Amino acid sequence: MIDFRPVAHVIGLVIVALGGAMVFPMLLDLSAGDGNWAAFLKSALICLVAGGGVAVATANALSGGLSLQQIFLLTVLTWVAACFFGALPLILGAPGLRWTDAIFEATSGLSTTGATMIVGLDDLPLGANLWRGMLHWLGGLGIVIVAMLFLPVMKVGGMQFFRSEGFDTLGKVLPRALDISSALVQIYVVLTVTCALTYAALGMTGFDAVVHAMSTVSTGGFSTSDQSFAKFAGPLEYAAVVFMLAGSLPFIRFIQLWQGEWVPLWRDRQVRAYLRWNAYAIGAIVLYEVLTHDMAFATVLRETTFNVVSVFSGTGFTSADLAAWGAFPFAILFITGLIGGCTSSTGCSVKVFRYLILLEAVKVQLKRLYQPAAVTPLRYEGRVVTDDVLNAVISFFTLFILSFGVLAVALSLAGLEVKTAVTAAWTAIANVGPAFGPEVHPTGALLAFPDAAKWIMIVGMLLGRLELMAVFVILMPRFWRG
Amino acid sequence: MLDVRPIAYVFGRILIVLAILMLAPGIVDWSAGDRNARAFFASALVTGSLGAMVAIASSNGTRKAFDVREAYLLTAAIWFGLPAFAAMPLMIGVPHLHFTEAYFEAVSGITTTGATVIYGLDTMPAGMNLWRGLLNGAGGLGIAFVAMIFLPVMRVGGMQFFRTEGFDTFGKALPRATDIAKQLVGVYVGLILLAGLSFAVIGMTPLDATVHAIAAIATGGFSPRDVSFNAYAGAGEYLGALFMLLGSLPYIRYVQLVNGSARPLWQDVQVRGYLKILCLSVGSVTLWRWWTSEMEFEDVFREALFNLTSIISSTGFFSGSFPFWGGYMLPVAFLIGMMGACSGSSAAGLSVFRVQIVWAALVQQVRQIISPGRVAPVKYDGRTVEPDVLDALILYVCGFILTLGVLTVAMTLTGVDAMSALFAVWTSLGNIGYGFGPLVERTGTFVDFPDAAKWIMTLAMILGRLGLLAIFVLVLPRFWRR
Repeated sequence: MIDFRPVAHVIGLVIVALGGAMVFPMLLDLSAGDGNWAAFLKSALICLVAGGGVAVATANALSGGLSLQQIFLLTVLTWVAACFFGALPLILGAPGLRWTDAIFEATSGLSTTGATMIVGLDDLPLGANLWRGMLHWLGGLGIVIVAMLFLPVMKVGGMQFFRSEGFDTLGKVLPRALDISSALVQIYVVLTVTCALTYAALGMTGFDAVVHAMSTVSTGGFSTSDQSFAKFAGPLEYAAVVFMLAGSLPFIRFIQLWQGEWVPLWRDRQVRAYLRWNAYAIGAIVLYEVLTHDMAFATVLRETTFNVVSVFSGTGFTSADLAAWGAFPFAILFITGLIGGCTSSTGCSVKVFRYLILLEAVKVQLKRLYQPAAVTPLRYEGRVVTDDVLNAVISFFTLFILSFGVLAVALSLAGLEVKTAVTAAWTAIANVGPAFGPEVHPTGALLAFPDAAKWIMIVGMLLGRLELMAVFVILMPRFWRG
Repeated sequence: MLDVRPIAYVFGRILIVLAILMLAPGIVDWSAGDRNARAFFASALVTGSLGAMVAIASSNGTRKAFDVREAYLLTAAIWFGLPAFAAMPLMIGVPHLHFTEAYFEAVSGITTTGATVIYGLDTMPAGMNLWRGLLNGAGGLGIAFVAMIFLPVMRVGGMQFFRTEGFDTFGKALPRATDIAKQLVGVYVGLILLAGLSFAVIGMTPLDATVHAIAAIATGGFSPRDVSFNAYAGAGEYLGALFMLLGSLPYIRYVQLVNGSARPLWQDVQVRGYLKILCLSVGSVTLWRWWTSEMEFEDVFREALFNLTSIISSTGFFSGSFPFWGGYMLPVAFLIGMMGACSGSSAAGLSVFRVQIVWAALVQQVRQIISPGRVAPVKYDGRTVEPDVLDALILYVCGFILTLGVLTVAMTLTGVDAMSALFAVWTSLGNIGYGFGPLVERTGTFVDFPDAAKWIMTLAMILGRLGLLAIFVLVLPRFWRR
């Protein structure tokens, strides 16, 4: 039987921290004289009591390390619990959402998806919008830590390839983990602050700048306005592009940069491929738009760059009506969403690394077709990719497409039209943000979806965020035995 | 340099067979007093004499056995080259198609896709419809040979798993191959006769019965009527579903059945999985439609059974209001169409056997995460799947999905809307022939697609028919070096 107590202890602490974070929106509302502050106080107290209670009750079982099973449970349950408690202020306070909608909003926030349930964002109390931004920010930080510390050990989706960069075994993890985590937090904070200052310098109000910075760096996508980034068209879009890209690069490279080594970032094959593919997608769409529409080149370039990077990195801001762009740009956007950012970043979806491995594998396979005897090992950045990594990567890809298909079927069964169902499944599993179709509100909010569809999307967002395998493992009976 | 003479020799002989085949519709039209007969006789003359010349010119270079590279070249030459000749009657004769459309139609016939660009089938001379049916028949038989004899040796998409069932090497293959080939032709013709008689009994005209019988068993899908099976709603649909099903089971099992052993067919894991998935999809779609519409239960069931069987078996007949149901039906149709039917039949798509093994591998992968120390091989039908087979197979599935994405993007570039483009590539790559989407709805054919889109579909049909890699390998420069 698995010992739940260490898991519960950590989750309890996370909930307490989440409650502590609610102080910021409370103070903001309090200073703005908005009555909504009470909702944050109530939620914070609930978190404190529930989380603190659990943490204290299970404190007796703290041992040095966690077993593999416990790590899986910890990862998944932390997200589930945080989504639940993070939803509290939205139920008790200003938008007054129903349970389903609030949990959707919180999951969308913590999974850095960015699909929203709320229409009328501009009129929301400041605290509520700040909280949405903070959900993104916390979720982004959480996933970077999980991706760098846990996934390589969990061997999920070929992430064990990066093990040597992080840590070898669980026993040794903790001391270095703390080091790396604190370095990570510092970098994340610096990025966010730089982003906010840039936004403010380019003309956003201080509040907008902070919330948008949080949701940019975490590649989330929540905005303080129903118009999303269309409200800030112009140079701000280019500023956002820079920080969305930064958020979707491997954070380990930033840590190395921090220590004065810029070569790893510059040489990283994944980073190069990611930037190159972004350029291809932007180039193709700009060319298509210039040839088919009569628009100013500068506008086309700006809108395309912003929206492509937004979808590619899994952020989900929009500054134009993407559905009106035409079939070809739409198809390109759809595919970039299925690629996603780099590993161990806040970016989502399949990740560039896995595509690179997959393409390598296809090449090797083709070689084998006409040279059956030749043994060509698969290489990535000069290192041999072992069979178990390769299998894990390929399985991940297949499972991702399969889950995408199943989600689309389930969503259409819940009553959505086909186009809506497919794009909603896409936005959920790849944590992108926008969905398209008649059921989607003109502002991009998904509040008109049937409840069943919302729950399916909640599951999809968590699946996509936690790299599928981590969740599927828990569903296997074998996991619970022995 | 590659010696092309053995390939040219076989190709020339196949052209002669094609020419002889053209005489059949010629005679039909001639006896009906239709001037269209001349189109067939002229085409037969050109094809036959060209074939004879090629065969004679290269007869000094024949060998008993082919090596792997020659096998690739031959299959590609047949599937790219034959349609050019088969398209001739369609260009000279009544529909007066231009080359793009005629080649599309011929490729669609020979790859047993069944997508048509001819609207006004009912008013065409009988010979022309018979010719379309014969193309389906020839293509179905051809691929059954290739799948049983060539693909396992070519190691395309994990087909080497079946190597032991058929033949080990080309050297030893021939004596047994001729035996099995003869029995295969016998089974194929027998099934077509049975289908034709049954169709005639329920009141189809002789031409309709013949063409439908050939197209059903070959899982082709060409119909001599614009409304496809709507002309024979009711009993015709049930019978049609039965024969499409029979045409999509592995032929080797029929050969064994003829030789007196029914057990292999009955206990075939693939056949069982196939029937299970078919039942599940028909059942769920029927329930869903019956629940959400005013239709009678029997109508719903009949239409769902017929159309879904048509899609999963990659045939492409349609009937009733099914194509317009939308909703839950569409994603289900998409998924089962992509999966397709059993390998070793004339059906296409990923095939059930690959889907089953990939599923087993995925479960295996998730298990591996829980207990990293245990190494359990993936098993299929009680046999261990070798790692190289598994790699080839999973990469085939990934390659299929990537190709689907790339071709869809390419097709949207030609101005087709995203939904029509996606389903057009799906229908071509899976050799299905069933059309969904706004561009298809007017006529139920692909006549409204731009020429460039038709060429993309043509390419996709051949890619899908020959298992992708068999074509991709030809593009590699290394293939041509010795």
